[in-house]
Amino acid sequence: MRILIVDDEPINRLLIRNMLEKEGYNDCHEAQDGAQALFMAQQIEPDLVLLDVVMPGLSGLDVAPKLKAQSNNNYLPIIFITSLEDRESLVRCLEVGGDDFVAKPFDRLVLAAKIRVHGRIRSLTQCIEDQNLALLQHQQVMAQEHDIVEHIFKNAVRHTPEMAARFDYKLTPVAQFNGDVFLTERSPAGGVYYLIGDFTGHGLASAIGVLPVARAFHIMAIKGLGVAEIARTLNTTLLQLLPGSMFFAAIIGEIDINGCHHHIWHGGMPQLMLKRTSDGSVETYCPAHMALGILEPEEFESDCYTLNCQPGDEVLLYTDGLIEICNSKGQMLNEEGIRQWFQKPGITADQLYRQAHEYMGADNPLDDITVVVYTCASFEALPKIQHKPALPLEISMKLTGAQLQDTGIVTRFVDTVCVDSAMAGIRSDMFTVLSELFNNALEHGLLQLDSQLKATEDGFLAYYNLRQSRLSGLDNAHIAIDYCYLPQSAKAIISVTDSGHGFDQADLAQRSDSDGYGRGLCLVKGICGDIQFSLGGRKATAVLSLPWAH
Amino acid sequence: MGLSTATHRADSHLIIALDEKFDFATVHDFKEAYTDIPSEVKVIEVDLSNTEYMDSSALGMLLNMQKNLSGREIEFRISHCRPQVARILKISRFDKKFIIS
Repeated sequence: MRILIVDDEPINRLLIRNMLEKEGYNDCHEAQDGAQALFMAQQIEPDLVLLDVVMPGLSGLDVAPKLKAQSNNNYLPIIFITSLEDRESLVRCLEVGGDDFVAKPFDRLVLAAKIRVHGRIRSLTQCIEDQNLALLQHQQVMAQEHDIVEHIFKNAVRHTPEMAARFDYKLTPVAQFNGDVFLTERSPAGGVYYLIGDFTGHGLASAIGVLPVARAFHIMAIKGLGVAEIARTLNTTLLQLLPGSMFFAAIIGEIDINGCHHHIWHGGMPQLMLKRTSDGSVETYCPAHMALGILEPEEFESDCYTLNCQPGDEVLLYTDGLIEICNSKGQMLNEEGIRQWFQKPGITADQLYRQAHEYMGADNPLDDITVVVYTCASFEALPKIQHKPALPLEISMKLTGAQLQDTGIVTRFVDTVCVDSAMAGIRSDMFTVLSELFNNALEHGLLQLDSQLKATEDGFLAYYNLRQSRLSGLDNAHIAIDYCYLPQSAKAIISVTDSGHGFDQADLAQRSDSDGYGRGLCLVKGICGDIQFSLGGRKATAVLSLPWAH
Repeated sequence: MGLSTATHRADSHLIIALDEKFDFATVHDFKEAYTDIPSEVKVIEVDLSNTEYMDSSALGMLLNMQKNLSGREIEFRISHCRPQVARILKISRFDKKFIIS
């Protein structure tokens, strides 16, 4: 311990120094007046100062506050050496910044004890000081990290202006990060996908799961996958990622282009509510499943339900943070409470949230709260999906022998074409059209099966059995599939050519509605408007108009 | 690949849920799903919530099911169609014979 002794009397300094050295304090320094004390304190940075009160020039009372100020935040103990007897002066010593005093003549034991106590306080203070500094640095690093994470979250969860205008939503996390999430994305079919979800808990730990969910949701939505498949994929992903105690309740919906038909997977979320504009009644829909991230893929259930709404009908989505709020009597709001609020005509997400706050009174919510109100209205007016492949593209495939037996040919061809996400909107139509043309070419052109066999149920099965047996014996035959994308006219031309006998167009006459066969080409006509036959019926060509053609 | 069946509400409601693709590859499984069903069944619901691809053989199978069971008092429903699949059913005027939702 480094001690600075300040006294104008050399004899006193010597006396004190001797005493201290006997007690083992060998790092002692001496100053003969106030000015020298201040100068030396800066040079040697003492751990403790013994300070005489009465000195020529600066007195001890003047020096003490200056020494304290010089030492910044560190606790520098100052012990006054005093022969003063009056209590007022002693009090004054402590008031100007002194921490203690020893009276002359000195008692060695008392002096040493006091030095030890103040040394202890100083090292404790130093320790706290160091810890504070470490905490501060830690805090700064945290703040920086949070800023980055916040930035990432904002980018992961964002709504286009069109979507923000169509969904009335309010998200209120209890911490900086939200364990609730609300996502929207246009569907390639012209409608919209939405997802509202709630991870177990709140804060950063539960918000972290939002990132993979948002990413997967947007990718799958752009591809135009069904909500059941989206739910299944998210379940598998979260099952791998989340710790066992954590899961993700969610409602995933797809709205058609008319804005009124919802197809919904609902797992672990509170009741969805639908307010009919016709009579103001409110219907409630309960979750059909457990939350995502719990069930193994083989246990997972993907059943969905549908809402058939009228323009103006309102759909209310919310997380359990809203139903679990309590009033001053400790009564939970529950779904019934929300239903009553929602009955009010034209109530907005913000109003529902405010009403929740009024209900709670002075209390703060314990969980993140998200409220979304969607009013059914057509999406026709929204700009169609922007991305249109600009380059023409042709894909051809010539299938022979065993390749023709592959039952997955059509889907694989469709997958190849739809690798470009812009084509996702015609995926289903493309499958139907190609499937009809291909099966016609195969079953009639090559295998010469007679459709009339399909007139009875047994015949139907016999037909497909026959198909299988003739197919395995097929030799020297091929089918060519040609796909051609024309960017300028926004059309996709699909033609299928067989090496066999072609197809008798006379057979295309309209059938009765109950016939179990012969509707395939009508279906193609319904989708494409027309079919062209050439090469004596061996080649059939249909033209699909792409969604952005209109 | 394929389909699953489930019976609900005291065996009176049979649900046949198809997967992503509903085409001729399903023909045997589909027929099996409604063959030898108990006499209590009053509703058969074909759930197409997962179905993205469908062709005319699927339409044929649906009609065959209806014909096969025409002697019984059964209501036929096609449920949870995605928009594209609903369009195919509409083009084929299936709304005349099935309750489609």
